[in-house]
Order: sequence, then C-alpha cells, then structure tokens
Amino acid sequence: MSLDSAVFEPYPDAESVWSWFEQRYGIDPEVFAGQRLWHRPGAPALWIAGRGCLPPPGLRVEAMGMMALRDPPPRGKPTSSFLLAFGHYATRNVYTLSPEVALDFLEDRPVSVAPIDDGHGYCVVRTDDLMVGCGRLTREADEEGRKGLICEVPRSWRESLAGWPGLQSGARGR
Amino acid sequence: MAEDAQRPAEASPPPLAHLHRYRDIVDDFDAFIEVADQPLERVIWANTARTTLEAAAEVIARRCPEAKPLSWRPGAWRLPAEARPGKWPEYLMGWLHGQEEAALWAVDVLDPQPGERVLDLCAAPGNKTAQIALAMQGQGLLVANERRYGRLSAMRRTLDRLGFTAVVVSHSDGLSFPELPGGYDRVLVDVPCSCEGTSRKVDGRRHQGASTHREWIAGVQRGLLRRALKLVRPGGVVVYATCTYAPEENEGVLDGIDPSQATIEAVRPPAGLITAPGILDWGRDHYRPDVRNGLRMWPHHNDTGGFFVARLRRL
Repeated sequence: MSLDSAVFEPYPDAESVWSWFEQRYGIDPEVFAGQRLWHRPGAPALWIAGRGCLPPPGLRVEAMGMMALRDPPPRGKPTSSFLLAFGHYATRNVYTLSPEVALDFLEDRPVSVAPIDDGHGYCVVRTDDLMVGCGRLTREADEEGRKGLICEVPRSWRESLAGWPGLQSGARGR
Repeated sequence: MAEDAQRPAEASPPPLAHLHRYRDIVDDFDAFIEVADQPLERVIWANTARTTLEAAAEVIARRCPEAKPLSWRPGAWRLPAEARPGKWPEYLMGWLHGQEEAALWAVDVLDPQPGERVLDLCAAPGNKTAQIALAMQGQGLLVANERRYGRLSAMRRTLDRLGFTAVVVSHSDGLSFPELPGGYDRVLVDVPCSCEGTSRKVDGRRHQGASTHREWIAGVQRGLLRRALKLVRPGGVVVYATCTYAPEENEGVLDGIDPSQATIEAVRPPAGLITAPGILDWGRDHYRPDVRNGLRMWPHHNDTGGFFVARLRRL
C-alpha cells in the first residue's frame, strides 16, 4: 500500500526512544544526534532518518531512511538493518557468536547461550568481525517450540547465504 | 523429412546482429562485437560507511584471490564472471556492493556533496542511489524515486543492507515528479532504455534483441530529462545516463533540450577510463554541437558493458 508523505510524521517522543536504546542496548544517545525519528500515526514502526532528510511536499513517500523498530518500546523490536548500521555501538544485550554458531543461528537452528544483561527479549547478534542482526532470547519454548537464541534476521537476507559452507570470515574460497 | 534434410540450413544471424547498426560510429567494429558477446566480469565496491578500504581489500583478497582493483577508480574491484560475492557474509552485512563497472562513473560525474539536496529520478534497483548516499555521508537530502512499485522493494533492501538513513524513497511518475521549493542541487536521470549495453551480463538479464520500441522510449527519455531540468535549481547539475549505444536515446535526447535552458558540459574521464565523444550526425539527424560533450563507453575500450553519460547545467 502506498501512503502519502503527509502520513509520515516526526515521532513526538524521540527522546524517550533514545533513552530506551541507552537503557536496553547501552547506546549513547549522542550516536543519534544527526538522526530524527519518524512514524506513520497508527502504525507501530519507527523510522530513523538523517536530520536533513525531510519529506518533500506532494510526494508519495514509501520510506523515511530505514525502519529502526518494528514496535516501539517497551517491546522494542529492532530491525536487523538498524542493528547492522548502529549495533556496533551497543554494549548491552549483545551476543557474540563464533562464525560456525552464527551460521546455525542464521539457518534457524536453536542456539544455546548463557543469558546476559536483561536475559531475554530482542538482542544484538554478532561475530567478532561482523554484525549479524537481530535475535530473540526466550526463556520458555515459543509457539513453534523453539527455545534459546532465535533468529529474527529477515528470511530474504538469509537466503542469500544459501550454500555458504561456513560464516568464518575468509575461511573459504569464493 | 527427406525434403527437409535436403533443404540448405537457414543461415543463423550473426551474434548481436542488432548492434551492427553501430558499425559506422564505433572505432573497431569487430572488437566491439567480439567483446560485447563475452561474459562480463563482476565489480564490487566497498561501503566505507561500514568498513574501511583496507578491511574490504583484505576480505576480498581472501574470498577471491583473483580479484583486482579497478585501475580507474579506488575502492572497487573486478572479480571473475563466475564469482558470487552476493553470497559472502560481508556482502550480506553491508560491507560490499556489486554494480556494473560502466555504470559506476555516472555518480562520479554527478559529484554529489554532503548537505546537498539530490534527486535520483529513476532510482531502482538503487545501485547509483547507494553510491550517491555514500558520497553524501549521511548529510543532506537524497530522494530516490521509482515509478514501478515492484522495483521499490529491491531498492529498499539494498539501501537497508548498506545502512543509509539520509534517503527518502518515493513512488511517483518521474514525468510529473513534484518540484521542491528552491529546487534540487543535483538530479540523476538514469532513464529506462533499450539496454543494449547489458549484452554481457551473466545473470540472465542479457539483452540480445533489437529494440522494438525505440521511438516510444526516446519520447519517455526526453520527457524525463526535461522534467529533471525543471526540478534542478538554476546553476544545478543534471546527469543524463543510459546503458545503451543508440544515438536516438542519447545524443538525440540531449539535442531536444533548448540551449537557452541548459548547457551540456565537458566532462573529463579519470585516467584509465576510455570514452568516446558524442556524435553529431546519425542517419538524417544532425545534433547540436555540445552533444559531443556526452561520452559513450564502448565495451571493447575498457572491457565493460556499454554506457552513455552527459552532464548538463541548468542556466
């Protein structure tokens, strides 16, 4: 569905979201000094766009920068694209996996991790070298019977890795 | 059947027969046809918003030892045609992006600057949009427009993966794209075209046939270029680009611009990139002299696809 630019509006309480990012992920609000939050009133998603990025009048706008959160805090589900761009600033709820385990994660195999910080919910998943994206740590088995660190990276991205024999940086040929 | 067997075999058309019409405007016709039929090597560039050139170079060297840096442009590498960089984890995570070599230069010609207001009028699949966003360093306004709704998602995937936030993605018809108060500083109008320059692509989109709708598409191209010149501020830059050789879609479109509205500027290609100047005569058509400032990239000159680019400045 297309929406007119008028539907995108500055998010009225951006400061609370920057504070939430600090509390949940340890990201210094200064990181977002050059950014602004937008939303479509009535829709849950929050979008992050550079401060100079204002929707031109009369235009059918499909995206303002990138979607940052699919749901606002307190549920606060970050998109993987947001975490690829800003996740390296995170110091809390960050799970660093070995390349092999990261591949298990991306291929939807259950990954067991020792809970840290908040112990459950949406988290940043990375390897030493690479940001991987969004994960969700569950205490109990979810409706699909999955427990542990569950992959929230979009399936379309993960399919690009089909056939890759290992996620270890530079481990294999082309 | 017996009669058929005796019938002389029908001569198959020569390879790329639809490109033979350019025999008189290319310097080495045989080399042109030979190279235009070969698979194209892949090119990837480093997203320096996410990684450093050094780290990207190290990853590329390990993943594909045959990769070679481009001679004419830093931060980009050539890979063998059969390489699949799109499957590399670093690619998925936004360190790298693939783009046809011939198309890379158009954004250098546009030369977008941080803090400016820039419009990419026909933006999907978003490769040049991504280049512009990188050059703008997250400062200013970049509007990436695409008329065809089905192509928007691929563009958004690219921009999301590479992590650019200073981009507004819009879905409008470029021919009636709304003006911005004060105008855009720069507009890229990378028009839909007959795509003859993509004959070397190896991913199933090779264009091998003759264009059956050249007149119609040239009309659309003229409309888009005129609209771009309305959208840019006086003194601003419009870059017109196609991936085709056809003078009707290149010099012929530029010739349709009122000389009192815009000049076609001379552009100096970087060292190591060979280009050919625009032509002044094609069939019965004679073009305005400054269309010579438009530059054509023939595949056999740089071992790339074909491309045409021109920089106009609104008066």
